[in-house]
Amino acid sequence: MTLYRQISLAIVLLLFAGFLGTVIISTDNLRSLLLKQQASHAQDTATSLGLSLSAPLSSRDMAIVSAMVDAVFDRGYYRTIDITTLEGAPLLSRTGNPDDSNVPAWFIKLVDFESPVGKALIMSGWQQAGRVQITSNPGYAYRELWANTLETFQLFLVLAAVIIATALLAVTLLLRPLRRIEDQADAIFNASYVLQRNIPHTRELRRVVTAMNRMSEKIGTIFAEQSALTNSLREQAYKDPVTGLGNRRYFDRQLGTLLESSEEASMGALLLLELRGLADINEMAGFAAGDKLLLRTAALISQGIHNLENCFAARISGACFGIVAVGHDSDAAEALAQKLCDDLQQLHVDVPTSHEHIANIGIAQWRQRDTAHNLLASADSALRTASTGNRNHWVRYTPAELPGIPVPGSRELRDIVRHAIETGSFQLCTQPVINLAANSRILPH
Amino acid sequence: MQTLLRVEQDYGHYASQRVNNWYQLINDYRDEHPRDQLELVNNFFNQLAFINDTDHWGEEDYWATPVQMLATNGGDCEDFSIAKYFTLREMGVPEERMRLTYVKALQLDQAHMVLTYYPSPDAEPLVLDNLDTSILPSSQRTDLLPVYSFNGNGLWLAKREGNDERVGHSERLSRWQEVIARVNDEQLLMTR
Repeated sequence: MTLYRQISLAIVLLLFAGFLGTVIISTDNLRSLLLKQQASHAQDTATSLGLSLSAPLSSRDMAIVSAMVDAVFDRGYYRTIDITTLEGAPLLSRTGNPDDSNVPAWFIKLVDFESPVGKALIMSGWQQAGRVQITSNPGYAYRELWANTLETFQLFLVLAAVIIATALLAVTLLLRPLRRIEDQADAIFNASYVLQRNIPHTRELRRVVTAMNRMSEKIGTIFAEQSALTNSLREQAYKDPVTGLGNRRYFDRQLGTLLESSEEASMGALLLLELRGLADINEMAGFAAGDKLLLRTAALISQGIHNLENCFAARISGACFGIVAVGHDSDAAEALAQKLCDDLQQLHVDVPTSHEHIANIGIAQWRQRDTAHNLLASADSALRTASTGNRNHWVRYTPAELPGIPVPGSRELRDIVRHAIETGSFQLCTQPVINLAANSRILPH
Repeated sequence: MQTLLRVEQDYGHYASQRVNNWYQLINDYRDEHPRDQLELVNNFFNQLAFINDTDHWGEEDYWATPVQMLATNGGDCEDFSIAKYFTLREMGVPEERMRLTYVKALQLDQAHMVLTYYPSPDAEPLVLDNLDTSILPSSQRTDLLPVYSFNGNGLWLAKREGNDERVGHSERLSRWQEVIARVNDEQLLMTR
């Protein structure tokens, strides 16, 4: 059951109890009042009638007696008027109906108004000649009591409607902050740490809302801190502290992911740049100088790849940088390498290196899916070759024994094979395959 | 007893003595023959002076209680009749036999009230009066013309039912009921 229904029900029950209590009390009071009133009224009338009847009854003038009785009875306030002798023998009687038709029977039974009786003497001189007894008409009393009950009921109906309406409105207004709290909780759940700006005036609600705000704020702060911590840890994991470029772990991951993805890594180049004599610099001029060299180199690399799409660089060992240029052909790679060599030449001016030959670059190109391992090995091999020189320069890896022979791409190979098939310029040789252990022939059968 | 103390306080020593005498009268003759009781009570009260209400109470038609009458040492015809009525009732005389009767005092040409005693309902009553101090049958009281009699019975009952002030204000109490109420108060104070 909703709060609204509970409150409405409670109000209705309470008001009904109030109504019942009020009706009972007021009916009781009214009843007493009417009883007193009717009693004194009946008594006064009996006394007056007794007084009036004394003369005609003495002279046994029953006509006048009857007329006098009728005069009083016909006014309708009385249910019975009885004239009797002293001993109680009836002389004259008038009886009427209660006249309580508008009042429901159950109410009459419930209230049970006992009509008061007034008694008086009829004198004949000094003698007591007879008695007059008058019974009040309860109908009037019942009508008054019923009217009272009805009016009270109507009042309470109106009151109930007003109070319920007011109460429900008040509850609605008070509960609105609860709704907002609910929304706030949902927002927190969705990692949005909102604060409620409308703080309600009601103390209890104000406390809850304020508490929610504090909690939201706190959680937000905690998560922000955790986030920052995670980010910094991740950074530390993947960043090289000296140069600001990625570190070996970063490089391996990036390269690995790249080569595993089927579409993007169809072609590209891997460059390995090695700084020469870094250890000597560190020894002679201190780590600060070495770091400076590294920094400047990193800056030049970053500059160099800045305008190239899909390029990343990392410091993969103490003196070695790795650059991956995805989707770029050999010309672009060579251009980049050359630029770097030229730029590094400038560094000689303000970095205390022993001579101009600062760095070497090895390039490994790939035109189809290859493993990181192979690429690195190829690039490394090229680098070894480059380091035999005496100035900054680069060497591209060629797999063949003979330097300078270009490795044909897959398209080229395909064309070569097709041409050979068309022109029949090939020879087929066969050779049997023998299982040495069993000393039997496997191919051909 | 509180009533005595109050009377002494408000009205003086003689007043309280009169009231004390009255209590004694009631107690001493509670179980006597009614005829004797009538004599005693009639004589006892007829000692007091007759003063009309305006001079005595400063109010027209004030019905005093027996104690008030004794304390102030006087009253008018209603006060006498009422005092005798209550006293005899306390002594054990049945209420049904006593009536307060409105009469006309022929010689004085005045309205008057006497207490009448009916040995049986249809009998000729005895008249207890302060004008004529002897108790005579009504036929012998040719100086009085009877107008109407009533007893306190029905009113007494009606009063007994609800004695709360709340009701008293809203209904029009007759003087009889007022005096009954006051007598009742005094009797409550007087309780043994």
